[in-house]
Amino acid sequence: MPQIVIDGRSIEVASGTKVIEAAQQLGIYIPRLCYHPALGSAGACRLCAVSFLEGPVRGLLMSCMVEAKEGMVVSTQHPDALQFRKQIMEWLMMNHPHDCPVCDEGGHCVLQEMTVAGGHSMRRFPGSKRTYEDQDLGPFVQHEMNRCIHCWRCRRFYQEYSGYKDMGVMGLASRTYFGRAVPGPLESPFAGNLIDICPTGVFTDKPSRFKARRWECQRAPSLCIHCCLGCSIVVNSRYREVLRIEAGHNPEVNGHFICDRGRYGFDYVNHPSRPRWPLVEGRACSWQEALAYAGGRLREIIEKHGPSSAAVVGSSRASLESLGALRLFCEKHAVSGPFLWMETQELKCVRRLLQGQELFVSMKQVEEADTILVVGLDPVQEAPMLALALRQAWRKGGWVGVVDPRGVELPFCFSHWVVHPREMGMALEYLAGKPKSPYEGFDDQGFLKAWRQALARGKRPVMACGTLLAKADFMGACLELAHFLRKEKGCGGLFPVLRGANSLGAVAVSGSEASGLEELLEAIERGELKALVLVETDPLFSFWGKARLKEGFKGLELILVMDYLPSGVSKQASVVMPCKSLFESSCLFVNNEGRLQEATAVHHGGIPISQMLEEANPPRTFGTEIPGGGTCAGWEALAKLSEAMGESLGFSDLPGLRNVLRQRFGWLREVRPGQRILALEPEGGKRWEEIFHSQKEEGQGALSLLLVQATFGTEELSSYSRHSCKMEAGPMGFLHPETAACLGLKQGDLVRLGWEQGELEFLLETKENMHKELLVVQAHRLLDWDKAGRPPEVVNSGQLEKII
Amino acid sequence: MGEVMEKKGAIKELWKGLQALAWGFSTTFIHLFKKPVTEQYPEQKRSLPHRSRGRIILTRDPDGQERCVACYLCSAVCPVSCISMQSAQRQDGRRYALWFRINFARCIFCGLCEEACPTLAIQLTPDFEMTRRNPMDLLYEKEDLLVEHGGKDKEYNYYRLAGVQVTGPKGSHQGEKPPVDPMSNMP
Repeated sequence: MPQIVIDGRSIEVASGTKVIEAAQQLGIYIPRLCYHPALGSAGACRLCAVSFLEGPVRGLLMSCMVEAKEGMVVSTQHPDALQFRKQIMEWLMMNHPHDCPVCDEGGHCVLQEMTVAGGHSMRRFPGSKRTYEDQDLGPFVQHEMNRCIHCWRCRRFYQEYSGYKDMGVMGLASRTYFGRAVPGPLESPFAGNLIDICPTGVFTDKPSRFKARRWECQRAPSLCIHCCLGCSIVVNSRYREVLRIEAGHNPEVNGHFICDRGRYGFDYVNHPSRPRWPLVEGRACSWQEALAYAGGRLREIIEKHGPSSAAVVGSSRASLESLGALRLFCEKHAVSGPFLWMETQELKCVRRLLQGQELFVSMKQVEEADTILVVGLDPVQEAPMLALALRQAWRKGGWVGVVDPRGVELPFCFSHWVVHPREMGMALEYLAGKPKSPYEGFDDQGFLKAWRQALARGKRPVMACGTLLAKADFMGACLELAHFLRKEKGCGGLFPVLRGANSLGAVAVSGSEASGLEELLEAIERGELKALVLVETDPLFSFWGKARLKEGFKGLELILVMDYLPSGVSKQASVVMPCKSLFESSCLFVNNEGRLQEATAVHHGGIPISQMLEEANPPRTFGTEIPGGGTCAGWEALAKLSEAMGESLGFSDLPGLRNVLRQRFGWLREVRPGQRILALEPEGGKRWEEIFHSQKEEGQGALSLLLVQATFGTEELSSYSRHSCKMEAGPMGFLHPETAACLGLKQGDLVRLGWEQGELEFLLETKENMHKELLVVQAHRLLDWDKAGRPPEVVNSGQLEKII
Repeated sequence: MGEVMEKKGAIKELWKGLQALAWGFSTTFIHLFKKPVTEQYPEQKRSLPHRSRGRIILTRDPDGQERCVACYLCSAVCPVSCISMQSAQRQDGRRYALWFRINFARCIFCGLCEEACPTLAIQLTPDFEMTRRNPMDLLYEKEDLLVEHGGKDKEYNYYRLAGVQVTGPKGSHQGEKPPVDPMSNMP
């Protein structure tokens, strides 16, 4: 532990700490352009020069390149260092264009700050400036190469940190060029981080281009709810419109970065047809009127047909407060529900996983693991930031093995064991060293031996598992293997990847009798249900029962929708109540590892000024009412509805609700936002044994069908975003090239899959590294779910036909 | 002893005051016999110096294009926050103000916006006669502010110096080298 003195203040730092970090720990900010805590040092910009007065090295050196050693005395304010940095700043600005007024980085530009701080204000050099041609890098990132100062941050992030190779550096000396060999969309699903990381305006945000300066924005820390990981974000909003998302810094979860789904999926909150006023039978009215009508109708129905004739539906994208209020509402009025799950299977999986919650690890622990098993999970498609964490583990020398039937692609070298979904459980048992495994003796050229060896070598094993492929007791096998590794190594754990942003919160508030939407659908079809209350959920989005649900809705007397999306189900609703989105209310979410996290309200919300322009000018009226700002959070609307029905839920504001929830749910009592919930206890304590209907016997040439997630296009919220829709690749289906050839299909064909209850059409892509007896289809928003019934588990070759 | 001193001081002060009064009134007395210079405003109007600060305008560059690039610096510097705008991108990539609004009911004509403007777009003119009975009439939109000339500096053209690809390809602006060929490693 070397002792180092910086500017007359001494500090003891861990060995290997760079001087620039040691200064940061003292609160001294040494100017820098190329050093970044996540990317480390490059020594490219020469701006962090400081004077070393005593110790092993003397003179002017770069503080990001020198490790702190015992006895160093450093001065950051030494005249030599100041003069040197001033000179460097002038050189850097020699070729920098004169375009700050039209540059979106202006206002949060590190180069601007350093230039002003260094006192450089006049260009003394009389020569001409170097110029570059720009490239089109797709819908997310704007490229303006003239502004480049060659700090290499973009290339270091893109190729080394995120592992994609399509953007890099070309040319030499002062002509180095950062871009793609051929212009085109950046392939990395983390490309948006270039915007945050570039210290100048070379990479700026395209969707929010020329819209605002940062000092004009309302900014607040929030959460990303486009997958289950719960990454931190910073939201920029202006004139009631959310303009841009930046990565927040959360060392336990996402570190410094976020994925592009989280960065560009926010636009659903600005959707022009977002519900802004309560609607009764399609007519806009006041809250009082809507509440009185809906409350009265609900009470009538309950009195007439009994409380079980009304059901309450939620989803795992709702906040913990809304989910808790749903539960309280159900208990108060004895109605059925809350139904929080699309599929009963998903609920069973999450419940089963909760049995191993003491094994759960954070994303940071995944980055530090040395042996990682990825089971039944396609990280880039389902939870992109996990892929980035896995890559960091791999860069530190970790070994990653993937057990999955799909053609998983990851931005690093991994070992892929292609196992059919029905054999996943057996494969995991084999890895856990169970005797009498069918894999005993079956070993493809020592492939599995290498796996067993890697598992035996590992000191900090982590297992990441998904819930999509759960057949038989797959989750149980996952838990068993995780327990086995923990017993063997004394550490390690499980990193579950679930489907909703608040899946764990939803399982914790749902009762022991909870079930999926299939049961709800059957109850509707049996005519038992007369009224539905849907809170922040849209069962018509990519649900195989869409057509049947729509039919069933016709027989209902009341459909009440509370949501912030212009969802499909709100078009069928008799009453719509507009809700506040995540950015307009403070709320809690529980991420996949059980970490309770709070999102703070960014702005009040309301119709954005940009959607209210009159002849290109904003309205010339003034008043105290915010147009379209009369929205309620989901829990608030439920409380008001309950009062309209004559029963109070026992709270009136957010602190009140949180107190009620803390009393109601023991696991929430001791936890503060940011901490892990250690004992998520589903109600009733009844443990679910995960038993799924076994696979049907398959004939010759039969393919198992898997409906899977994609980075863009399958997640509900981001599918309402104008920005991320530009990166969708339409609904894709995947086959092994040999299987496709047997069926007479090839890459790029438009294929129809037909079965008794429906059909789906998708573009075919072939993948070498997937299982041959498998058909994988993305559960895409553009698939015609109206035509699809319950998808078959097994597809025969005759059911696939080429359209084009 | 002390009282005598105080008396002396008071007399001295009184004398000083009388002197000042006489000096002041002497100026008034002299002006009684001079020709008056009252201007018959509004019948007669004196032309004010170019730099006097009155009504604000948005000027155009020599090409006849709007100079304003909606960089938000004027609204940032404005001490009374009377300027608001929305920047946007034109078809040719030029940044411009979609709408630009100055609330003259708030404006204190300090001229800081003109000082901050990097493109010389926003300028103050000597025209000060803009009182209205209805404060809403003091809300000037872009079409009210935009003029057809270049104001105080007719020659300056920001986009000719900025180096962004709007008025011409890369390398065609003032003081620029032709674009680098990144595919070549020749020195």
